[in-house]
Amino acid sequence: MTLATAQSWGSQVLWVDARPRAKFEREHIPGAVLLNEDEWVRLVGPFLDEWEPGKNIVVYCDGGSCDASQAVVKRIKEELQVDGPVWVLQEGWDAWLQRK
Amino acid sequence: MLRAVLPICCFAIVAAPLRAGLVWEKSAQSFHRTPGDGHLETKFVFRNNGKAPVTIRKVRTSCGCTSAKLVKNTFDPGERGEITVRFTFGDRKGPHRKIIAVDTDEKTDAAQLSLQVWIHEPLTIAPALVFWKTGDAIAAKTVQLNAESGTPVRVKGVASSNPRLAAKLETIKPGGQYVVSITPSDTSKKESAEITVETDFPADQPRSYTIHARIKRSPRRCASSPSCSRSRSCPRSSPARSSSPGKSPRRSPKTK
Repeated sequence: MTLATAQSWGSQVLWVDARPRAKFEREHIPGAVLLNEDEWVRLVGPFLDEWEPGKNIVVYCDGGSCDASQAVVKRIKEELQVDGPVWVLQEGWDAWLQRK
Repeated sequence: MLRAVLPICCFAIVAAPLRAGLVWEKSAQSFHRTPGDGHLETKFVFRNNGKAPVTIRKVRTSCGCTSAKLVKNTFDPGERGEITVRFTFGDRKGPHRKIIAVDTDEKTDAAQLSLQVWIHEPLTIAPALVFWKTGDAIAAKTVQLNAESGTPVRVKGVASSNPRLAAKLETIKPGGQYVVSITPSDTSKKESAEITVETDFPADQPRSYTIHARIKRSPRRCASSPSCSRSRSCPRSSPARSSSPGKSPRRSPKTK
C-alpha cells in the first residue's frame, strides 16, 4: 500500500504504528494508534476501541526492511480476524518523512 | 602457458586465508521457548582464521527486540571471540527469525547470523475478538480455546469486565479444549468488554488470557463510497486519538 493511496482514503483509514513506544511518542502519523508485539496485550484493547468495522487498517514501522508491520498485520488478521482490509504501508515511516 | 597461470595461482593461495577472516562456529541457531521464559540469550562464537587482525565495526540487529553485545572489537589471527545476542519476547509468540549483521573491516559483505526462536503459546484462542454491529441480532458468539498438543492446560474460569457482554465457559475436553460463549444483553449501543480466561498452567505462575468483545457502531451507508472517504461526512476519528504528530495520543490529547 502506497502512502498516496492510503492518504486518498481520508478518514476511512486507521493508521497503526508498529514501532517501539519511544519512537511513537517522539513522532507519528497524525491519528495513528500504537500497536506492536512488545506490548501487544496492553495495546490491543485501545486499538480495538479505535477500530471500526470495514475501515482500512494501514500498518507502518521503520522502513523498507522492517518486519514489525508484517507481524502486526498477521496478528490482526489471524488472531483478531477483524472485518476489513489490513495493509502494510510501503517504506513505512520513511515514506511519511519523505512525503513532500 | 604455465608462466601466465602461475601468478594467478600464487595470488589465490596467499589471498584465500586473508579473506577467510572470521569463521563462525554456528551462524544459525534455533530454539523452542514459552512466553513465560521472557527472553533468550545465546552466543555466536567465532575465530579469526585469517592472517591479519579483524576489527568488527558494527553489529546490527533486525529488530529493536534483539540486542547484540561485543566485549571487544579487534581480534588477532587465531583469536576467538563471541557476540552475545539477547532476544526479548515481549508479547510475541509463534516463529521468529532475527538477523544479526556483523560488519568488519574485511573486504567482504557483512556476516549474516540467524537466530530462530519458536515461542510456544500453551493455549490458543481463536478468535481473540468477537464483535457485533449496533442493531445486530442478540446472538452468542463463540471462541475456541485449545491447549497445545501434549500440554494439559485447564481453564479454571472466565470473567467479563462488562455485565452487558456476558461470558460462559464450556468444557469440551478437560485440559485440552474449551469454548467460551459471549452474549450481549442488547446491541443498541457501543459496548466494550475484556473477558479474562484463567488457567492453571504453568503451575508455578498460571497464565491468563484475554478475549476482546466489542459492539461497534454500524458503518454509515456512505462509508464504502470513494467520494465519501474523501469527504468529512463519514464517522470521524475518536477524539481520544492523536491529531498532533510528535505526541502520544493518550498523554497529550491535543487537537489542532
